[in-house]
Amino acid sequence: MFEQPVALTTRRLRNAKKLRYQYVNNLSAKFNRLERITNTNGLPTPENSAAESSENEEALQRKKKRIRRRLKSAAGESYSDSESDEVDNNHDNEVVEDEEEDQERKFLNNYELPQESFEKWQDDPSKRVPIQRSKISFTKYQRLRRHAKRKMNTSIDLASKRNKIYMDTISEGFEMVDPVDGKPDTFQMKHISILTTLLHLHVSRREWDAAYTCFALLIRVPKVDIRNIWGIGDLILREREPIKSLEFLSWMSSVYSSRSAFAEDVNHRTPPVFTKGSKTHVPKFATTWMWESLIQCTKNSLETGELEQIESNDGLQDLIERISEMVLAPPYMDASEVWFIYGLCHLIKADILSNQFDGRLAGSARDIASNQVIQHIQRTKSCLQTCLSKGDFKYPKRYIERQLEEFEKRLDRQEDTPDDSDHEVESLHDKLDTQSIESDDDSS
Amino acid sequence: MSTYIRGPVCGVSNCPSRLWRIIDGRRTCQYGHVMEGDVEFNNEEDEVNAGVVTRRLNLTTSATGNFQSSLSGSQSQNLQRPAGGKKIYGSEANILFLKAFQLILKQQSSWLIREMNFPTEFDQIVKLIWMQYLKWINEEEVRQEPSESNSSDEEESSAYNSRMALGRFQLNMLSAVTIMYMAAVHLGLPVYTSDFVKWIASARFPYYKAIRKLPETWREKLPSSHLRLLEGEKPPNNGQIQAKICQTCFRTKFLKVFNGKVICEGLVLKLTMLAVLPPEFYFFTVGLITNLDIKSYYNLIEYPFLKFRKYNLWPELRTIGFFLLATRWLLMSDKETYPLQWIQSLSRRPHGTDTSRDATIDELLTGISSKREDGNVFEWSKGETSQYLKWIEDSFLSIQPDDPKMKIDHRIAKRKLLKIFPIDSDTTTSVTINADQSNFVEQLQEKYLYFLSEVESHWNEQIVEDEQQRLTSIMEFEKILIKEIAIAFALSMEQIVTAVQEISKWCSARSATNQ
Repeated sequence: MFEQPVALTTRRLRNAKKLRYQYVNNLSAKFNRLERITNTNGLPTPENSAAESSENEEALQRKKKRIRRRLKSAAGESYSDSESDEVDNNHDNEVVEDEEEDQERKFLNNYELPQESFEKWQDDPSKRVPIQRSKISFTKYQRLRRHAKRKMNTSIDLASKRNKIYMDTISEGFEMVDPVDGKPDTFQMKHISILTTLLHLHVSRREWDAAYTCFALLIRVPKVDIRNIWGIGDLILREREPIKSLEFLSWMSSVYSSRSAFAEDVNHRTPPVFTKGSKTHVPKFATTWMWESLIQCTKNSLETGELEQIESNDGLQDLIERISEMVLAPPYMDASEVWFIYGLCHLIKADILSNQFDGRLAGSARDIASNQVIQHIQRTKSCLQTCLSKGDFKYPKRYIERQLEEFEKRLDRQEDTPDDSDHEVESLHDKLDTQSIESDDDSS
Repeated sequence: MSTYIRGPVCGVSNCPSRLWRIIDGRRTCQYGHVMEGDVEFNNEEDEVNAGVVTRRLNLTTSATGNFQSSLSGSQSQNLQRPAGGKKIYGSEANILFLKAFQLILKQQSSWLIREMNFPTEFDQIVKLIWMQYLKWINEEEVRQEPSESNSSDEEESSAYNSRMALGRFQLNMLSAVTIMYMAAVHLGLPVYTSDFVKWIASARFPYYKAIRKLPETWREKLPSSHLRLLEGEKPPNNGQIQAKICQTCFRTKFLKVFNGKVICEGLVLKLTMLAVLPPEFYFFTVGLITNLDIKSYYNLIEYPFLKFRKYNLWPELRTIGFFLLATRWLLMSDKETYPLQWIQSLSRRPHGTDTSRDATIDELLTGISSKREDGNVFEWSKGETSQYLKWIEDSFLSIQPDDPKMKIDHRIAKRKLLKIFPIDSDTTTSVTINADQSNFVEQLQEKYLYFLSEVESHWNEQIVEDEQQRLTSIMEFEKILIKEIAIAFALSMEQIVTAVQEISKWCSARSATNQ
């Protein structure tokens, strides 16, 4: 009933996938040659240059992709939603085939971010692009298909009987429902599936204790991959023991940091894409952890008040240090959302420091204190600048700028209105909170 | 950008370069390979003091807290792989496989003696049957010998033979179960397939993951194709046990040496209790069998292949068929004792809407292992759920093997995770109903009491007796019964239905000749 939280990696599935990608690659290569499409706007070389391509280029590219996707679907090549857009965007220089080559990686070379392998639906009518009505005739299509199949004769001959059936099915335009995926029949899988069902059932009934037990048992079963169900686990923890939720998220992001090389783990492309991170894709649990701990730190510093500022700030300082280490390497380096969170951390730090700023100080002590605030404000600005330069993240720029100016003003002020500043922090906190949630939604 | 620095060999697709330079903060070799995970970082403040370059090596901490150097993927992978395999192949592997199988047999029989109070002689019988089987393997090998003697390429033929031998052994966990069953039949123990199915489903009987009971060195040596046979992954279904029994009987020449008579009375009693029927059904069924049927039909069958299609000749299925027929005929003929309401409450019995009686954990698990889909998890009561979770915690998790490939980092990380999610036994035990503590007699009494109360509550309802309606409700009841029996005995419903049809034909033919 529910998806099994296990990674299905049998050799048969792997071979079937290989065949499919080979077929798709052949088909699109032939199609491009027939239509004389010499479109080599696949991203040039590995991930590092992806970040460098400007916003304009990317938008253009996306548009081109969309047009071609439509065109292909008009040509009747789309076997399924996910594959229809996989067809497009092919390197022409890869027409020369090497049978030994890993077809899947070759195919995926054209994609940098997993989320791009999902079809995007344009819902804004003004931006809609008319369907390209160039058609290919049925005979031509048949020729395409025959050609693509002929090219992979050897691999089909070597494939198992089941995979041959699979190939025939998908090349006819059908999708094969794999009984292995749907119906567990081994003892192990049966119980995993029942536990999963129970887990979902109890979560939907909001019976957290029972759901917790299900989850705790499920993660103890060796085959189960926690990356598929971490969201549910986090939800349960937040309902039962909110303190542990952060601990769990931090565990997730430290253990499953995306440091594993991209090629080693081709599997992360299998749906659900968003359960895992890659060298180019920040895993969702990492961003969730950052947001959650930022909110937690902010709450703490507000609740404990001004008396225990030093202790309460430590959490925030730790977070800043951790993120500062993280953004040194991909994928965090290229993720605008992470930069935004980083900026927000400095913003809040500046806020707290500027609130503590004692106007009665004089001399070098005053200089040090004000310098600290200025430094954080500067960092906020530079982080947000980096975030903006990545291009795919929106935030209320003016509002944040106004806040920063406010903090700077506090430095000049003598101690006249302490109550007022307190109030301001409160309002800032409220706004920041909603803001962070909104931005999170925007980005996801 | 900068001059080359001498460093480690690059090694990406055999790249010989030892020279490195920094491009965009990434260490790049002479031929343009980027060193993974190595990023140089210049702080903005440091640019003021020209000449001083701050270099940060990007180290990550492993789960142990140690610094993990940024090894490239290929390098670290090589380190993980242990040198050389310990697996053995060919006839050596076959002999070890037979040894392993023997050990599993030993463990199964000793479990039966220890936990189920089987007589101590049981062990000996199992041994005798196993020896018979070994004899058969030996004979088969001798039979194969002459054909291969004139083959020129020795190595090839031996490899071929070892593959064939594995096929000829045709031993898996199912054959172990059949040997146990046959030994029980020989001793005349009232143990039937349903019992084995129940024990297997609850993971008490050494069946699933039986390889974990083998010594570590054997597991390392045995090739995976052999290991998989002893894994016991899938629960038996569709009468696989019965078919395998026929085959094993043939190979061990069971009927010549042993007593192959299945005691059907015990089975009828079991069925009567399963169906929660009053005792007269038992007597009627036994009477029917003794009066109509031939005694020799209750011997185990010897058949060389797995595809035995005459289902009604399987002794257990034959008894089941007679029981179903007896029930049907009795209900149809005796309108006085069994009015319509009574029959209707019979069919309501297994899934009464009020969950006053929870299914026992054995029933739940047998249901799970027989069905192909999730079943009715959504309809589970609280008690059933907590029973199931308790079982998972106690039995299921304990038979899960450790992954030997796990590195120490993973182990520690896993331990940390488990610390975040401890199993707090308070929550599970508090809800648990002491159903599993109550013994069999109490459960049986509860079943019958529940049925009686069900009957009484509907007793006074005035329903006009209608012949057609009576017939349909009898059929309905029979269908439910067949479904339950199919689950309990790991048979398919079609097999039971065919057997019942055949037996009813046979009965009418028989009674015609008697007259």
